[in-house]
Amino acid sequence: MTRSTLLYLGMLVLVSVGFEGIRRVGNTLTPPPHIAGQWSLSASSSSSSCPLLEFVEAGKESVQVEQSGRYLMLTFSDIHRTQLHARLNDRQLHGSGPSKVTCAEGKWLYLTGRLHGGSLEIVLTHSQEMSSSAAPALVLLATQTPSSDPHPLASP
Amino acid sequence: MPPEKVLLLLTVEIAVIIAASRLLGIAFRRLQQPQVIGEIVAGILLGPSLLGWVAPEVAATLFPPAVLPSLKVLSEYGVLFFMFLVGLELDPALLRGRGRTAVVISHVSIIVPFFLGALLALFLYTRLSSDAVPFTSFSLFLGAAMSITAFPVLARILIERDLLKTKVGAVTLTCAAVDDVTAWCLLAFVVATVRAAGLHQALVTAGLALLYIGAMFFLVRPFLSRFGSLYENSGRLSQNLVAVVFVLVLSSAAVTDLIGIHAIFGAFMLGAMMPKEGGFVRELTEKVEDFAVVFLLPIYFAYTGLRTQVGLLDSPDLWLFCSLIIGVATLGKFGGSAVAALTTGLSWRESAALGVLMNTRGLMELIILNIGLDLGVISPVLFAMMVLMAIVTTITTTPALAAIYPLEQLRAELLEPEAMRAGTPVLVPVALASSGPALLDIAAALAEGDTPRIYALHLARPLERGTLGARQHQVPPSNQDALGPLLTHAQAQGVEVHPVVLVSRTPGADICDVARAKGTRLIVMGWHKPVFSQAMLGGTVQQVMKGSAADVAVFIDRNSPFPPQRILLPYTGTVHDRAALTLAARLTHRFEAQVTILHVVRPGRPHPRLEQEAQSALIQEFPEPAGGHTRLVVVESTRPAETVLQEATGYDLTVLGVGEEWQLEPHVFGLRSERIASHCPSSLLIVRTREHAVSMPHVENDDRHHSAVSPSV
Repeated sequence: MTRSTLLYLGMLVLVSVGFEGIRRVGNTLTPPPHIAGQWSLSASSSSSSCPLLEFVEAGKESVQVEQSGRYLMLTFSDIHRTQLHARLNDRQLHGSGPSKVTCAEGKWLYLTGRLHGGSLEIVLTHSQEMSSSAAPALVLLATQTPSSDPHPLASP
Repeated sequence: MPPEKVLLLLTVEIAVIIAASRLLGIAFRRLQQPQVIGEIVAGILLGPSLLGWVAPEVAATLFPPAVLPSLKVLSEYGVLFFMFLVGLELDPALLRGRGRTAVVISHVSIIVPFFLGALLALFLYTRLSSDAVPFTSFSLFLGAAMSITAFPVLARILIERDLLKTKVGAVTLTCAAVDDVTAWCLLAFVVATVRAAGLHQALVTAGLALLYIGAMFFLVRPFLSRFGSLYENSGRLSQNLVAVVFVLVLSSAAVTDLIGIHAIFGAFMLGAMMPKEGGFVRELTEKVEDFAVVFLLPIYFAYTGLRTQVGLLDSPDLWLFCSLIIGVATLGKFGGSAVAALTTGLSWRESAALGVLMNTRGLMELIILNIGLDLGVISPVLFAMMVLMAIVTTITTTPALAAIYPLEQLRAELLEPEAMRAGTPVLVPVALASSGPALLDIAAALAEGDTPRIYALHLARPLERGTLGARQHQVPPSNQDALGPLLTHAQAQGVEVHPVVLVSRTPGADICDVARAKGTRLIVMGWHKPVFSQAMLGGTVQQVMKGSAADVAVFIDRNSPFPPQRILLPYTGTVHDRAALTLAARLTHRFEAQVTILHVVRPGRPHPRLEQEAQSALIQEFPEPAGGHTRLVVVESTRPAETVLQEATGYDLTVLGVGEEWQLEPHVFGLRSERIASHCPSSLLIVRTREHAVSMPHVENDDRHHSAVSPSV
């Protein structure tokens, strides 16, 4: 048996053992919860003359969540298809994106959220300080649509 | 959207995709990059990363969601037939004699990046994955994606850099072939693991996969070997036979998809099982490749581009992860291959070159990534990062290879032992077969010594194939015959000629490199008018004249008698004229020809020093005049080129150095005609030397005044 063959066999054993070790450690890790897909929205409160999102039809509001682990892209079904980048840390959402509503043009839209079991509570505001009472806020409650497809371009 | 609108939109989309793909492909080829990288980049640019970002309305109109399913189906057929072609390229003959070394290097080059990929999964899992994906699936997929090598792209790079003839090229190609088989088997295993609902289903899938592979080897392969015999007997590939092959490809793909190891594995396996002897596979490849590679594959790249959202990498930490992925992929593949190659006895340079080549991922990476995204194992952000990794590792291959393995070094390795013998050889680049014999005659006459040693060089353009070509002839068959007439003539004349045929995209630079590698001091070449220039000494001739470390003699054949008996040597005293004089002296000594040195001086202002130098040069080159037929003619003229043209009538050969006085200087885009080169009645030998001596004063322009003939020297 040549040196290279021995090296090869040794490496094979080492890698197998190593991979098993990695697998075991990996199985103890807790990745972010899977929230990708279509979520139906219901506005529970809104307090503004200039709306934060302009939905066409009441009752058909939704948000598409594209997830890459902690990193989320939320696309609302409003007339402007508003998109916000967000992060998911410990079931808490934080994100932002440009507001596309005409009356708030140039303003930035901030998002906070919380995952409660199967529902998602989202708060949108123009102020970075969420506690600020001066800034109008839109509170949305999202529930996941059962048939939502997490990979829009993927095979059915 | 109504079906007729879908068809119209799809037609427009495909036209845009093919055009963009070709344009970017050509642009990248110009940058010495594999064409396929340009095509991949074109796909990405058509997606949300550029078109969707700068012109979202255009992107939405061109690629509406209603058309995407049709595009997806077409793209999947593209990759299916591409994988069939990859299987066709797989030649077991590659393994003969190098099997064990290749298997060791190849497997280490898979194991190391696979392991590092799995290790990286520990870091990325909590950041870029979710609890819907089991860690085992995630780590297996990341490992498999890290360990892929793009065999077709690698083969193209090897062919284009002419590395196939070197040890490192041959070993790399074999390793890549082994890598290919191993990686696709690994992918089949990973896909089966990811798809399987439990251990029982995984075992069933594994059992069915083994059964399928066994059936392919013991039932399908013997059946397919009859195709080869059928082709050999009829001498052509009938459409019926092609139809049967297509049905088999689709059936094999359907079977593997049903088993749960993905359709592409079936297409690949069927290609691999095809009989590789004879011309069957070559003709089949030619029939399938143009449609699959030119039409279908760009759709696959565009579809991949539509899924690649580089914009998702919107924070420094994500770019840091992306860099980490690129670093780990490179470390694993390059490091693993190079270290394994070192242990099998390759030099550090060869090992490093092998490592760089094996790090090429190209579109094979895209295939595995798309499967990962389809299965939901990798997320959109990770997909974008991995696509960038595939592009970066492929783009860096050519420059890294050039740094590790410079072309000059490569050419030097091709040096044959006889190059070390006494005497400097002459290099004769031959572009057209018909010009070979005349070039050989003049080169043999100009060579130093009694037994001229000549290297006949033909540089062939690489085959115009998009991605494949490793099994094809390294040089197109028509090019292999380009040296035929020259070699036949050499045999008849008893001249020793060493043929060299190389694939080249940059003939000018490659002629210079070969001349340097062969220790040549003289290059004798023909001429041809460049496409975009009036200059006869333009294009490749210009590049060789400017770049060569050897003297260059361009022979313009006017069908004058050979060997020449009457030689005219226009002379003004430049270093190039002096080199022309030396070459003319060799011709005179060899053929006992009569040489007339035409010394052009300014009218009415005799230049005793110039004349004296011409005399002394003559005496130096002709100390004992051969046959006593050497004479110096002094002509007063302000239009030296016209004077030469008038004097050249009645001579068999005019030998002169390049220079402005003769309106002969190599130009890239010469617009004025080179009067002597295009109108000289005798054959012409234009000489340019690399000797950097101070040239003598030039003759100033004025009308021709009178001629004076000096006595014979």
